[in-house]
Amino acid sequence: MKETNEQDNLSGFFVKSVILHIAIFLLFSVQAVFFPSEPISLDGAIRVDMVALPDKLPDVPKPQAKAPEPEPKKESPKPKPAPKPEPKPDLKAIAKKKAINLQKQKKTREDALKRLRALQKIEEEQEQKEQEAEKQVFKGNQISKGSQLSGIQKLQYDDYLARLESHIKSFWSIPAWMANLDLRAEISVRISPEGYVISKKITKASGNKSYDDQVVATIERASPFPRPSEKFRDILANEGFRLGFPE
Amino acid sequence: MKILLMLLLLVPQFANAEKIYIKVGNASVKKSMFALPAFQFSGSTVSSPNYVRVGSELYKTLQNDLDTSYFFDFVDRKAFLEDPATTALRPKPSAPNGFLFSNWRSIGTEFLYRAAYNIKSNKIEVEAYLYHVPKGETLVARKYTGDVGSEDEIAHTMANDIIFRLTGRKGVFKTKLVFSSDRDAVCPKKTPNCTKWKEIYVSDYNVKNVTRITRQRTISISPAWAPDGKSILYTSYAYHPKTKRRNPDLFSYELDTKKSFLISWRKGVNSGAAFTPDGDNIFLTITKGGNADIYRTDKDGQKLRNITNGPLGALNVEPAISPDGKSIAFSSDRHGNPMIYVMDINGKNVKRITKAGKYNSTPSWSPDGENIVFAGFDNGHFDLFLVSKDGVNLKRLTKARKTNGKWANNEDPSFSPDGRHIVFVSDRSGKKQLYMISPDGKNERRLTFDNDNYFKPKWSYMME
Repeated sequence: MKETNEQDNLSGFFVKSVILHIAIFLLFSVQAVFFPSEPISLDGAIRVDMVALPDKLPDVPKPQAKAPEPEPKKESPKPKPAPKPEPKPDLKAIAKKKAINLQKQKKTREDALKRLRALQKIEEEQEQKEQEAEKQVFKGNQISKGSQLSGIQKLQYDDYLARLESHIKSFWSIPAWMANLDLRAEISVRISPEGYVISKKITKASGNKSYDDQVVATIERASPFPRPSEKFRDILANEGFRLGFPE
Repeated sequence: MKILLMLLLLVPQFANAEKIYIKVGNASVKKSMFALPAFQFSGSTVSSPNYVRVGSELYKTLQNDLDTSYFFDFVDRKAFLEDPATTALRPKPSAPNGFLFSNWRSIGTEFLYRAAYNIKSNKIEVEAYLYHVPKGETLVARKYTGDVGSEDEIAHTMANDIIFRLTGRKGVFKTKLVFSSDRDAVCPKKTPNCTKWKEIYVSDYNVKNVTRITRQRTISISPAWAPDGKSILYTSYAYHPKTKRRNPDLFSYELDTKKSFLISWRKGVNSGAAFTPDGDNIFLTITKGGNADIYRTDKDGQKLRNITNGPLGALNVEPAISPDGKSIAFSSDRHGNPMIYVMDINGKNVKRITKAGKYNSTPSWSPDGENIVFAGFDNGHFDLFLVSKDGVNLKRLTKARKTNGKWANNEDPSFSPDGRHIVFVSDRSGKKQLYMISPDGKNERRLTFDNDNYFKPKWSYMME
């Protein structure tokens, strides 16, 4: 009897242990499946906070007004991947049955994957739209790879961007007759590790050729740019940077 | 699970795939180097003895216009590498004797203007070209004709063409001013306290070619343009034979017929009139029962309608209609000191725009309807101030001393139709003279240089 009792106890503990493990595992997997959506929504906040100079942001009411737009879009698909209430009954059911419904788990994973891919698609589409709309781009976006930087590297990065900005500003001038015509142009520039222009291309024309010429001439005058430190050379030579004249 | 986590990690990277974006901000502004050689005379000097005067007048007027645009600095003639008198108006090789762009490029010229004129049977013919030297491009190529005597008008047209070609916006050089002045009036005989008569005058924007349009032999003040530029409202102290008294009545003067018509002659003041931008209605100040209020009439003085009413007998004067015709800026002492207010065209939604100063008056709208310039009394003298239509960004535009060291008065501002200039009256020389200034408070310049007095100038709408 004792043996059977012990065996019963042992098997009981074993079952309890298994159930507990499964429960914990499920809890984390559920968390992993349904809470990861948060980093996506945080991602917008990263763009704004990491690099944007606090004194500049108030000057940019338009991008601020537009920046929140993508968020609701990001959130809108959330309700779809958030059948949060569903898994909870699953958990209970599993607990009650004291068995693991692997198939269901697989399904939820696959569903989650699908949702994430859908999210990515939405995000990619949104990026495309943003590029088309252009105006939605604001200073915070320049974080790009910088988000991977920390500590001194980040400070160096910020410092370099600030130097780049003031360097270009010092060369940016237009004839008086061109002022107050409300013109805007955007140019994409790549620079070599020595700071020389590798390529420049007007990505958004102002509609006034003389103004676009002034923008190109400003880049030519401004070359060579401040030399980037080793860490950022690849970014500036391959991806380059975009400049908005005046914004 | 790993795939899931990896995908999750990838998401922020997708978001960060955006390139670095830098807003460069507003550009510093520089004037362009403009080469304006003397105009060639291509006719016979024998048959046109006045060719030197005509050429000089054309040149001086064009140069003054271009200078007044504040877009250009002129290349010193001494720096010219070729003689514009002996080289053709067109460049080589299209003209065998043409000029060389390189000769102008090497002395830093951005724009080159070449012109020649001829006088045939009292008609001036001008052939003119504007070149963008760095690109070797022809920007303007045009012929102009006009009677001898219309040199200024031809030159203003040439200047307008240059401005329009560069900016895509109309130049103001053919616009006009209207003002009140005592410039050729004398004291009425047997007047114990001599007050000079004031008449109404029309002139070019630079106060050249001044024409007196009234001969009322009394005090004529507060002129205002009709939007089509064909008539002018003004107030004159007209004599009423029945009552044997003078009363400030409102007249309308037609420039084509040179006739004045009475618009409003109600007992008391009929003054400070302004047309609506559509030209259909007139807003003016009328004192009924001793209270000055703003009224609306049609352009013939009919259908009088009360727009302001007090409160408590407060003064409501100097209506200025916004360019969109939806609002009125005016001066009122309803809260104590006279201040600038803005209200809807029907007199509703009165909003106070200025709070500082002791006496703010004579508002004038910028053509984009965003700002209002007015004269504000501060530290014992008037100065011009610019404020947004919402009453923010108050900015002082003028500050000048008289020759005796005291602060001068700068008042009666009126915006140019392109919004780049403001004409006003200043007594810094000891007399009330006309000046102009840019809305940023820069480029102040004197327009009249005499010993007479000028009052209430109003800049016309675009004339073409």
